[in-house]
Amino acid sequence: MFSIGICPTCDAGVLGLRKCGVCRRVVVLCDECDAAWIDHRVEARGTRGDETMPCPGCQADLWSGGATWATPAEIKATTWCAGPDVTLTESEPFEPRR
Amino acid sequence: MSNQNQQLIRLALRLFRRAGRKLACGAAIGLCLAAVLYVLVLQPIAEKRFGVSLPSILTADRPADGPAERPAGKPSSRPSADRDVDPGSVLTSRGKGVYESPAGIRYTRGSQHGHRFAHVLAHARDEPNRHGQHGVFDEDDPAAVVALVDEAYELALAGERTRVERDGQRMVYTVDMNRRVGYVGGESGARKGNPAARHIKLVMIEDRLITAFPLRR
Repeated sequence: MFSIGICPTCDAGVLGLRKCGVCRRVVVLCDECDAAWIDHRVEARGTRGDETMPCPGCQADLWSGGATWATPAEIKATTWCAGPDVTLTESEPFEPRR
Repeated sequence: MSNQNQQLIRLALRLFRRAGRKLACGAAIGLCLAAVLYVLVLQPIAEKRFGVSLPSILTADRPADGPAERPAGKPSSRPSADRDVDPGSVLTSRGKGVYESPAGIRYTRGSQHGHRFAHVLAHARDEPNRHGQHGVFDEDDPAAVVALVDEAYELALAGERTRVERDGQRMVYTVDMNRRVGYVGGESGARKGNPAARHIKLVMIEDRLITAFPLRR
């Protein structure tokens, strides 16, 4: 999976790039505290998970419904990912157990 | 064994020598009584009332940094922490996949692990290849992990040794446990020599737990 840093909310989770299974957007998702943002501007208000993890673009669950970690091609096709203030790190993915 | 414990033993031996043979028996009885008084009464009261961490006589101290040693090989009668542990084995079922801890924390469905209980238990094991840090509890017994999270929650509700941040509906509590409760694992934790963790971070929506894990500060 590709990530862009550490979550500012919990100071621990990796901010992974997740592709929504419904709206197909690549969004930013903390895999520790279930917080998501529409893009790399994580100081902005995003969505917060409870029993599901709502996509900040369409509210669909980011842990199910065909959502996946974004591939290099999907990241390349996402405009904000190519910005100068985005540093990508690749690490082992954790596939959700649902 | 810590330096403090070694000093206690040295002091006891010195007292034995000074007491001589005639008083040796009486001194031994006196020391035993003092040790029992310390372990059962003085140490728990002082730690609870004043929040200090006194040396333990009965248990070996954990290393300041690095993973805690856990018994290996022999299977335990209690299940070790694993995402497949039945939440009902340590929590009270409230129906519809909701489980409640003795302190009143509700563990619901959610997270990448499918259930908050499994998500918390993921912190009972290190993930050395995980990017960034991964707080790891010294305890790997699910009941002990739940008890530790409960203790942190009760301190947070009482406003003791707790830093509070609000994130919309959520409350983020960073609780100083006043003792080692785990270590910092993951890739960056390993790079730093797995520093000891003395705090627990709780992310809650009212009484529903989102995550809980040990952290350095």
